Amino acid sequence: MIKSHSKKLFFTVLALHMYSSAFHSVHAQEKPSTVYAEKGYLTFDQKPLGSLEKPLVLRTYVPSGGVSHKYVLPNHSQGSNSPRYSAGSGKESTKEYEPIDGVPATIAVNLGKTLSYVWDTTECRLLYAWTDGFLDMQNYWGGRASGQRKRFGYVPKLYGFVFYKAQGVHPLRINEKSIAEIGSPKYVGYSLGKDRLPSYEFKSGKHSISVKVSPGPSTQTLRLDFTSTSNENLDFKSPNTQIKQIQKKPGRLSIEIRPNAGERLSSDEPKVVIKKPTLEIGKKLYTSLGCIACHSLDGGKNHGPTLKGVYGAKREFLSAQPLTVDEAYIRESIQKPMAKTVKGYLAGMMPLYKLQEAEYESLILFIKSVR
Amino acid sequence: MKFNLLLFVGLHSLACASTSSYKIENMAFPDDMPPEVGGLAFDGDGNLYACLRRGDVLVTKPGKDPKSTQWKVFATGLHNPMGMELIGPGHVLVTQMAELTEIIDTDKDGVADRYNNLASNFGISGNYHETNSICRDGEGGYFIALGTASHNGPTFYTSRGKYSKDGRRGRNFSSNDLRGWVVRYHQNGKLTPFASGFRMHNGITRSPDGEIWCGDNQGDWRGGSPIYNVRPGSFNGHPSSLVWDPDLKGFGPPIFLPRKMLDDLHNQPAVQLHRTTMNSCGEPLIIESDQFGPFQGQMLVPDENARRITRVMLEKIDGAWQGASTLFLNTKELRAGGVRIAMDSSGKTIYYASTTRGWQSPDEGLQRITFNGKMPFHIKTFNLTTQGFIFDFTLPVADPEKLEKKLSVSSFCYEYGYRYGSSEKDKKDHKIISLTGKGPFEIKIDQLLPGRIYQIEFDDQLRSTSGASMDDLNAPAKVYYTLNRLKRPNSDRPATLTQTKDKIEVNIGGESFATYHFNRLAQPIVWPIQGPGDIRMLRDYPLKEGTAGEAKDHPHHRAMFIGQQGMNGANFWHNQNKNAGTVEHLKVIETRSGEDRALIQTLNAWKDSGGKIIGADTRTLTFSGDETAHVLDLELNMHATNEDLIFEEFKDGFVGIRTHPDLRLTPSPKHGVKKVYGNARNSEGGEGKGIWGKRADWVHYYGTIEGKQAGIAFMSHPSNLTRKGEKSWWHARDYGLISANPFAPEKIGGDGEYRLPRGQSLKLRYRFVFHRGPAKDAKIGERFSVFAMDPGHPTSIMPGHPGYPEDYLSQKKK
Repeated sequence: MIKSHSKKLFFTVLALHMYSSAFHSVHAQEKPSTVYAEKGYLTFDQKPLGSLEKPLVLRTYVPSGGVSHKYVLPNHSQGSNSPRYSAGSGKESTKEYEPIDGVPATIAVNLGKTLSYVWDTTECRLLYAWTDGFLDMQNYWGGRASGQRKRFGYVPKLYGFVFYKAQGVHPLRINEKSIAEIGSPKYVGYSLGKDRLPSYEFKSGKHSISVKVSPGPSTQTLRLDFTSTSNENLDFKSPNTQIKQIQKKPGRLSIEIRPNAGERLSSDEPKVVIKKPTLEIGKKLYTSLGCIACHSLDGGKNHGPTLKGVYGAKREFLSAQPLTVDEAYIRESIQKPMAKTVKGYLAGMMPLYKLQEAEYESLILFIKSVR
Repeated sequence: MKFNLLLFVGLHSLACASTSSYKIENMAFPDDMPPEVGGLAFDGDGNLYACLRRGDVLVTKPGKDPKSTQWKVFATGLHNPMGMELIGPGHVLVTQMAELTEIIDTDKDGVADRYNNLASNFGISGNYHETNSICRDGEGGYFIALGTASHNGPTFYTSRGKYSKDGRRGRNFSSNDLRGWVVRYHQNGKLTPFASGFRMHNGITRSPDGEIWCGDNQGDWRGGSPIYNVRPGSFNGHPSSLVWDPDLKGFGPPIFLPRKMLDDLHNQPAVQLHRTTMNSCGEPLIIESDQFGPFQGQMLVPDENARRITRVMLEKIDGAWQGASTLFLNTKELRAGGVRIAMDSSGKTIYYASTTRGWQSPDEGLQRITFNGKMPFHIKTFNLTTQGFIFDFTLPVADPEKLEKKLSVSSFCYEYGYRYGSSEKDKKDHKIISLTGKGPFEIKIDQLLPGRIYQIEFDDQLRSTSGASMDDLNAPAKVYYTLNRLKRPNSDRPATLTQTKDKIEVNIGGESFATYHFNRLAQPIVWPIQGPGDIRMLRDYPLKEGTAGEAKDHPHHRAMFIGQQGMNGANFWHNQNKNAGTVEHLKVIETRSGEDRALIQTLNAWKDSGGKIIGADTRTLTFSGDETAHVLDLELNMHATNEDLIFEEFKDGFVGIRTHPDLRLTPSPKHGVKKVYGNARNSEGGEGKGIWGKRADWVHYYGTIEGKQAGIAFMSHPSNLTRKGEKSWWHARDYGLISANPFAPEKIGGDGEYRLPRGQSLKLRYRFVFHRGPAKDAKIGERFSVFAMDPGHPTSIMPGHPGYPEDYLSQKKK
């Protein structure tokens, strides 16, 4: 009941606004304001944005982002339906209130279009991360003139491109034991460093841990720096998540998290449906979805193979029959990137992208054109 | 970290308005900043901190010109912060939605860089309404007011802290751990529950004398807008939060508990603010300064829904705070939605913060109100006397001898229940008996009854000798006095209580009277009971064995006890039987002591032999007395909490005592009682053994106890239920058992079985007179007439008025 409900909520905001006739970039279309970063305080602007120099750290309700309640949010209690109540008569009806999707005690951080993420103080872990946007507070903060929040759907809306979602139980392991086994984590607080990025501190059992979240070396990656006070052996293990260890010594662990999701969300409804695929749209998607981070257009080697001349080229795979790249293969690589991994590359690096049909076709048009 | 941003103010119009005594000025904010102020506090250096509900904490040093106020951002990103306390410059505590947060500027550059979670071990459901506020506890810790959720918003699938389905019911609700409570964050970092029963205490204050005060919002279970003196362990009227009270486990959803039970548990508000003076209370402020006009020591309460500030004059009567309220300022120049007030160090100026986001059109900001030294004309003091009130004005009144013609007195009650607010019930106009004095004035009126609110209204034409009118503050000359308790007459017989973990001993006039035992047996009992002159009135056995001259019959006759042989299949009379139920003491609701009487009020659960709760009682025992008699009043409210409560018809019930063996009418040599000295009579002229099974207002056992003349009268109040509409049926035995039984079998002349429907309560009142001296001197008949007129413990449940949950539960059954 819970999963389907929250997922539905999360995906109904999937909208693709950017391809309206004028063909604005995401940033222009979303009309983000950088007022917070410039002014240093929250204004009437409903879509506040920080910057790399002036991150915005905002305690708020957030959507769950479709993360697993069972594994990712085990320290939360479960809400239930409740009989509707008439304030006039004091009576209950047979109809019921249904809970809504939301996580109540989080810290949402925005560094401008580079990175947004949500760190939860109840679970003491990252919930998800995204680029190209932050939170639309309109339904919660209400309009300047009316002051009215939306009565039942006021959880701030997430907009931008989600590239990471928490998977499985708490990923931090202390001396080979997961935090999930050691005991409910207790959030202690956070400090802002010289770079104004927060480092979160929490306790689990007798261990004191701090973790700093910062942008990774390339777009759609994250860097986590864990420190423990008693030189424990720290590891990070999470299903369906590629990480790269940057540094590890007793009491320290630095990792890079690779994208494991791909989902564009917009706070604006209703969604704009693209009817006709074009090469232009594909080219834009190449940038906005972040393909550019791993796939070069000039033959340069990166996390993923270059797109230059890929169409019609021979491909060899780690554990699949070789083939000649055609439209079907390109589509499969975007829709089910785990299906085949090109020889010489790491498996599972590419997240899965959920797009409209015309968007897949636009991307294929674009990739075919890269010669 | 260097980030000092001075905020310059936009081109807001900054009109300044004034009364002739108080100047009102608007503090400027940048035009694009939503000045939704949730918390306000000064540090020791005169810096004013304001937290805004979108998340910023600002700081300024207020100057002469409010238009050039420059704000600096101290901290950012808090979630709807509604409470703030200053530790020192650059060191702030804030209550935001999810936690109590300590915010520190560790590198002293003016901007916070450290945010510590001091407390988050309370629930949050995700509902927008669950805001928190804070005040100091005077011992290095803090009290936190945890607001409830509203049915005008949702809860989340994934919430924090324990979730309760039962707490989720109703209008304002407490679905998650400790919502609707005041909790205490101790200096050692522990968080403990302190008081329950709040609907939406938006603001909490500690007065200089260490008392804790919360206002609450109008609404369900709130007749007016109440101001509570928050006492430890108290339940403050709104039921939802009781799901988190371990003592009330097993009673089901608290909003369906019998209203009378909730009313008895209710720590009555010190003051009920009338709707013409208050819609919803913001945070109270006690005026500590003598520079803010003539109102030092009084309380100001801003109105979240209007442009006015109410003034409260409190006094302690019979051990509890109550008092009068009137408007302080009522002007369009004030912004709507006043939530917080802070006073600066000059003591001449208060800062008045308002926010309305979420409940009305935005009209927010910060204003300051400064006393200019010119005495305003209004009511300065207002206190209760034994027959009326004594009051005074801030300036001498013109024509004081004509004042009586310029005022009227009326009174009303507020009803307690699920409804949003209450109209004025049972309105009465009062006769003025006399009005004397030239200031202060003393007024005597025809009747003062606890549980009522007295309205004293002065004529518009009232002027000071200097010609000043009250129009200047636009605060009509109207006072509301919340009369919870009467001023008790002076007496030289102080009543004292000594409470230990399982009993409370009552002394009166330095003499031992009685001991209430509540954790020792299968039910709470009173034993021993002494009359004046230390005369032992009841049998010791079985509570104490070996007392000379006592028979060991009927070991279930335990001194003074309550029970029925059959209630929902359980036996509460014969405590050794297999199906014996237990009456479990849950809590002492309240004790009072004072000049002339002591009072004990407790809550008890009635459980069957399997431990299942079948009902509850709240009982009030009042102890008073003089040199001739000790008087114990029992008000017993039986509550059908979980199911219909069936009082089956048995002769053995319901409130009983077992007298001293000397008061027996007949000896029992086989039990070792050889000689007896007792006689018995009843109100109807019956005598001796003949009073058994008869109906009467009272029965009286009298004679000689251990050589001294003495007696016990047991009276049943005329309001007590008897199904047949007759006087009480008495199970009064020659061997010294006396019990009043409203459920005796019909075939022996009793009233038969009684079914109390779920959600309802049954009130039974008895008076016991333990006297010394001869029976004729005890004047039992006269004493009964006095008892019959006694209104008993005040109640906020209006009889004959359809109410929840009684109606609802009975309709649901159909």
